[in-house]
Amino acid sequence: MLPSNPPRDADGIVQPHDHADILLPDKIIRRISKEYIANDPKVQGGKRLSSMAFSSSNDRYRGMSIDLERPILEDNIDPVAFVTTPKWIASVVMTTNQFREEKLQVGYDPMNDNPYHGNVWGKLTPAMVRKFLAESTWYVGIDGIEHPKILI
Amino acid sequence: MNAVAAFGNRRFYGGGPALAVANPNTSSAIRKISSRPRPVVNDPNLLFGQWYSAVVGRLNLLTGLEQGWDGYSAKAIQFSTADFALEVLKVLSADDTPLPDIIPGSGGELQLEWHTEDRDIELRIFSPFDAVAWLHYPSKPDDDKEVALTSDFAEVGTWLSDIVEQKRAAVESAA
Repeated sequence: MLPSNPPRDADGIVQPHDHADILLPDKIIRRISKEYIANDPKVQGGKRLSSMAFSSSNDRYRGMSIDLERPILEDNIDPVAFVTTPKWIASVVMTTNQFREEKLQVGYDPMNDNPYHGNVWGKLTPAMVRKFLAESTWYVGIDGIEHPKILI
Repeated sequence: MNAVAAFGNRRFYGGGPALAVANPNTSSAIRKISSRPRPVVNDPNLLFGQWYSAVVGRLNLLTGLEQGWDGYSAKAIQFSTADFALEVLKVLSADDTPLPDIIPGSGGELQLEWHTEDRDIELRIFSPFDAVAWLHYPSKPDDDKEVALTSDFAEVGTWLSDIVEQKRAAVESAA
């Protein structure tokens, strides 16, 4: 079941919020473009995810786009197939709790082409992003590309 | 003419304003870095050389990204941001400065990244004259640094000089 309607401002834009229907253990998926891959001699294979993989949009409230796994599953859709295309070849996964522990808000922001779309709102500091890179795991991985876990 | 062609042509045939150097707030520190031996865009030997063409090629690609390139709703990188990144690189790069990875962000920013065996340097350019740089030592996180930058990139130049010195020392010790 989709989360209930999120709060919107006067222009209809979803406002930052912590959605009650998005639970702490729920899986949060972040799609990964191949443009986020950087070279790093410290990691096996010499390539890693850039910290830009966790970057906010430039929309009004600067949320970081995510996909909410649980409602996708509840609609009997394969979430791996849903978030993966030839263009967006990979994705990482975390839990709601991992974001909220950092005082970030995790909310629901449905889009016309993605009813399972959410946002993470709040300031993403470099230390926080390094933590996310270390704690996240591949949802759909890229052969030969490591998570930069040695950065912590 | 699309954005990709416009970006490349403008640079290859005459160039635009030298943003970092032309800024009235430019400090003496940035001029000091500028005076180091480095590639200059007017050098005909460099114009189609590896450094310039590699960076311009990458920036062309990023300014031509389709909307939603990040899997969500990100737009292509603004020409002005790419142009500023190029100017910053021209200021920061000595002959043997390693080329950075140039990574786009969902908010239209660009990040220049240098990763070595013992450190990481990330220079994130949100828009012209609005940037933040981080120096991170995985084994010594207490020594990490973060600086907000507008037109004076001298501190990042110092960080990069350390990498170049390290590289030179490694070559000498191997010889």
